[in-house]
Amino acid sequence: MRARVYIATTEGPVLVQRLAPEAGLAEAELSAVCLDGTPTRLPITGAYTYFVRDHVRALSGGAAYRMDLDRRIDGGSSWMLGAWTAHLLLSEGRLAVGDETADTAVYATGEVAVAADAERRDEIRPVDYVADKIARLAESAAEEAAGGRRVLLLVPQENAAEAETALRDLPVPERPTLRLAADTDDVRRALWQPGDAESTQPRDAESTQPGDAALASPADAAATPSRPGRGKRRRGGRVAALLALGVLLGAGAAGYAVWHNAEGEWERLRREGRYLELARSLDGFFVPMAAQRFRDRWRGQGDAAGFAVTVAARRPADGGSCSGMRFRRVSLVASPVTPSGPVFRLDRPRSLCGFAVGAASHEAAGGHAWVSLNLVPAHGAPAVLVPARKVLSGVPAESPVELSQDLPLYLQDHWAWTVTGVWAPRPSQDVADLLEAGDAEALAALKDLGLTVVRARIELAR
Amino acid sequence: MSPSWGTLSEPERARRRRRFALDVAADALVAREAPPEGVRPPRFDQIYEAARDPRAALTEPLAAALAADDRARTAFEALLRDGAVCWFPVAAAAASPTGLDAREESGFRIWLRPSSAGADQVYVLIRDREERDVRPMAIIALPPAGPPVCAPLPEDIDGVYQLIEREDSPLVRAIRDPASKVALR
Repeated sequence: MRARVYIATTEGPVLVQRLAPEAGLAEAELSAVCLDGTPTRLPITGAYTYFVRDHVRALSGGAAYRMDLDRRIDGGSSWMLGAWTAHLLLSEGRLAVGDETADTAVYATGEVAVAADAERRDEIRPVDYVADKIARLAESAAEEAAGGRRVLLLVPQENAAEAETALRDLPVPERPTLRLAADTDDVRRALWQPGDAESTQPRDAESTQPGDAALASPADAAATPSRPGRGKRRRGGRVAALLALGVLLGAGAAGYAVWHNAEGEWERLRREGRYLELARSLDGFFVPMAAQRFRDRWRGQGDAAGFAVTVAARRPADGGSCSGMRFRRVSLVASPVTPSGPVFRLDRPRSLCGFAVGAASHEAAGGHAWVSLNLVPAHGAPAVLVPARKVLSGVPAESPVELSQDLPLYLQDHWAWTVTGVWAPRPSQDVADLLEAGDAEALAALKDLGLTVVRARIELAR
Repeated sequence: MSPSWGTLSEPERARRRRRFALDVAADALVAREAPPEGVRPPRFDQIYEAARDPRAALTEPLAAALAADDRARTAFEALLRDGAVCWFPVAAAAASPTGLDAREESGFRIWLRPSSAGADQVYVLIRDREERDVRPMAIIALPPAGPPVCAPLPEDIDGVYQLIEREDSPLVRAIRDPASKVALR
């Protein structure tokens, strides 16, 4: 077996492009995680260094590695199970990197931790958003399966129920074989379990081998061989025709009932603000035209007329510098900024002490609004000085939904933020979660479900 | 009554000498003649911020202005040296044909190591051997000619700061050049 490893994230799977001992870092016992073979050092480098010292040194003896990923991972700990799997494969000479051929693709999410029980040194701990991570890896898993590779999904034992539910929502061709791990020994068993190489389809639903939680798919049932015919009695042509018509009418009535019920269910999910569940239900409905019809009905039907993002610059009232304001005893005033298309440019940086971002409707409208402010990483340093992301929600009819951002006295060139404003008829945890995760693609898809989503960009100009 | 020079301790004399040098440098900047049309010399507050504020960036225009103006550069260097967590002067040791690959000063060590990812990448590693109240937040290199270079430092990992740079980056070239001065700010 030779495998490539993906780390499942809420932004989609991240490929381990390269993993190698790093002699240049051995003296300091440091490791590094870099982006796409470039010198861009990812923020999880510190955590990865300790991870290597705690969990990898016992595996391979090495204490300094460099891992290159094809996309950014900026935080959290759910990358650990994928990283550990990659190190395990590397130590066995079975990790496929670069253009090397592979017969297996492993997707993993989970935290690796030193166990309280000394007998079990490395345990796999549960992580959040497993369902979202599985939904985001479907396309990549389908491509791997289409390439003839065995596709495994490795998650912590305690995330089993969530993973099984999420996998059932995937179309069968995109559904990887689920493997569960409670500790690192389970990872070894999961990777080298016999009998996987023949198929990428889930195996026996009753299987409860350690590390295995294969799911039965609807296709399994459909593929059950039919029994041989027993010899049919001949019937009159008219009876057969009537019977066929009856079956057709019955099927039509049943189909209509299912459709009608589904539409009712979709309306309910929409009313309750459960947009992720609604999107999954629409995507998986057996009559795509019916789901499309529902989307078409709501697309662009957001009730918030004139919903828009506003930006106001905060400067000293006397127009002087922000850094000298404390000596002049003047207050701050906010002045609206006129956008150029979707871009708000904030000039005169010396007098700029901060800005406020609001989401509001020009016309009276009920409903709930969110606004998120996301720093666009430019030269590495800004995230240290200002928050990478801020999200605020509220009811515009009651009070303005407005985020404030103070700026450090010593500005840097080219700082920029993206702003996303969302309006929905009611509060929704799904919208809040998507904004927190910065999932732009999923947010854009909300427009199909009757929400209003507006985007803008803020740039500091010299 | 002002204390006489002879009664001051040596550390106090050194401190006052440095202060006097800074005042002279500041006066020189303030009293200078108007610059030629189109040229914007750096203001003293800009130089002071860039040299002293641990989080201040060294913008490209300011770095270029410091490279073009000897007096501004002298003031910047004096302020930087005076406020640095660690100051690495011009290296006295003989360098290899490729230049220095390590510098040591006051408990800090800076060393360069190649990366396995490619010959064009190099690690800049900075170890702090002492427990300090103040930690550096940036490395600034002053090559003998050309603009100074500044890079923010990431969080240290057990007292070691790690940067990854291109082999031909201005920072790496400056660290390798024995004639460069380096500050941890």
